[in-house]
Amino acid sequence: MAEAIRCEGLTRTFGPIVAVDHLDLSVEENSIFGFLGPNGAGKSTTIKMLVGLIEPTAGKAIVAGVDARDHSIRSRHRLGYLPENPNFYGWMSGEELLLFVGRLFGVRGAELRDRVDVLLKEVGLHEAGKRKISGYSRGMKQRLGMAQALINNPSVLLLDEPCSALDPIGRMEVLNMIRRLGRETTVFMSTHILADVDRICDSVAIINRGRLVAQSGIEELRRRYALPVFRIAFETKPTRFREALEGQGWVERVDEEGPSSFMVRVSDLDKAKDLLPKIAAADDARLVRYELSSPTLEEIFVRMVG
Amino acid sequence: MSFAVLLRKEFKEIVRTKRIIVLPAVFLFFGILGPVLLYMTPELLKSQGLNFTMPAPTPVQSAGEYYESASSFAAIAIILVSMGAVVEEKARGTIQIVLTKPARRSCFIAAKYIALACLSLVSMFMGSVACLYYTGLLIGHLPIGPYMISTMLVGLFLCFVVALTLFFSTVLGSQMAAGGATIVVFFLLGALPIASKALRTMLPNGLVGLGNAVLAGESPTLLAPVVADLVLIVLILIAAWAIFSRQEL
Repeated sequence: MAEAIRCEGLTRTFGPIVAVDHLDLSVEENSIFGFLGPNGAGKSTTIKMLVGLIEPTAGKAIVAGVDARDHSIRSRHRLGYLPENPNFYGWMSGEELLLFVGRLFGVRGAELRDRVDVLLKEVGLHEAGKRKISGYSRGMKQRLGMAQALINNPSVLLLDEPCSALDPIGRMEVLNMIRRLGRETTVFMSTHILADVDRICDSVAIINRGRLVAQSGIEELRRRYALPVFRIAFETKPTRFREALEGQGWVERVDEEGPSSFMVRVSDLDKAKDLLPKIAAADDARLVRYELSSPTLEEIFVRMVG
Repeated sequence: MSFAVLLRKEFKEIVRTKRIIVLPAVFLFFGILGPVLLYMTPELLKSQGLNFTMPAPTPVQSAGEYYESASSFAAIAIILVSMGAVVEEKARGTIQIVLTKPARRSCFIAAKYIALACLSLVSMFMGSVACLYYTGLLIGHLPIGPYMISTMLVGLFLCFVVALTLFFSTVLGSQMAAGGATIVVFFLLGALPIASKALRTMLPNGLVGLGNAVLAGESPTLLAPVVADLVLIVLILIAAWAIFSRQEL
């Protein structure tokens, strides 16, 4: 499959601080790509380099077949961009903003009006379309940001934290929209809401302190990086369970989820399946839950950047 | 194409943010105040018990008062309404929305300049019309031809002020810094100890003196100062664009 975005050794420094450090990325066309990292990891800096708002110190980024350093008007026709905490002209109405942005792309007349109507409906701002943006909530501004990023039917859509200001229903709607878009557009979204990534992304990259930690499909990431997790709960606080696990070589980590419930990450699944029930049963406390669960993306993320 | 869209947006912004009322109001105020104050000064002095004979005010004196105010106090009003033009868009992040679309940075700067220069010129001419009317009503009729020429010269000076403000709004990091820097340069230009009269008239603020001279019936050379001012405006805008095109947003 063709690449929509490719970064080769992409680096950006701000004085002595290395915000993005030799980042190599590849994003397939018509896929939804999650770009994960803790705060300050370099996600927004990377996206700003991809849209040409800031220059890389070294390396290069190709977006929709065009070098991101090439600030040609032609290249921008293919991009849609939603910044983190988007802000607009407060004196405009939502509808006026979309008309303005559409005209910048050279869309005119009835075609533009229809497109604006459709987008306002899609982002749930149809009724508020004629209201001044200065009266919009943060969530409404984020929805409007989505709409303006889509006005030109971009082939690559770059979204910086698209759901950060949305309530659960708004989040669900935007995620559904992104999922629909992913069939015909490449969506590159940065976020630290891992449940969103789990829900809609085809593949992810995790960066930490500007460096790429991992990049793969979500399932492959689980297979490659996730340790099997057992969730075990007792009726009362167990007396010897935790101590009994400490000496076992196949146990990677034990986390207490509550006073009498535990999450046990194991490195050898077969051994764990044999021995863990016996250790749990040997305790004085009565066993009420024994479950092998698949690790969440959040657990993988915490393990990789924690 | 993007230039026309951006220019339209700038004009709309001027209307919606009430700048279309504020700036003309300032110029109208000075356009009316000049002749009225000049007409009433002898009466005011008499009412204060000061009894000395003043020469009768002339229409040229009245227009000169207006130009003085337009090129100082009203020019500062122009600086105040223009100083956030670029820097505020950067601070609010609205610039990211525009410049990731097919809009050239040169068009962005040019649209802002033309819109603000038009606003300043229209305001200036409204004040001029008010001054013309009240001077005719209270003091005497101004010679229309020279008055128009001198108004255009002062207008050209104000276009320079807009360019200077836009430059600092592009290169500096806050509205206050942009406004402050423009005002400092504005006053420094007036305070430069230039001995040569010819050189003085070549400076943008020399245009105001030339306007007064035209109004007084003199025939100073206008072409060179006008061309010098236009060249300076273009150079300032090119410098603003050159710096802006390298800025990271």
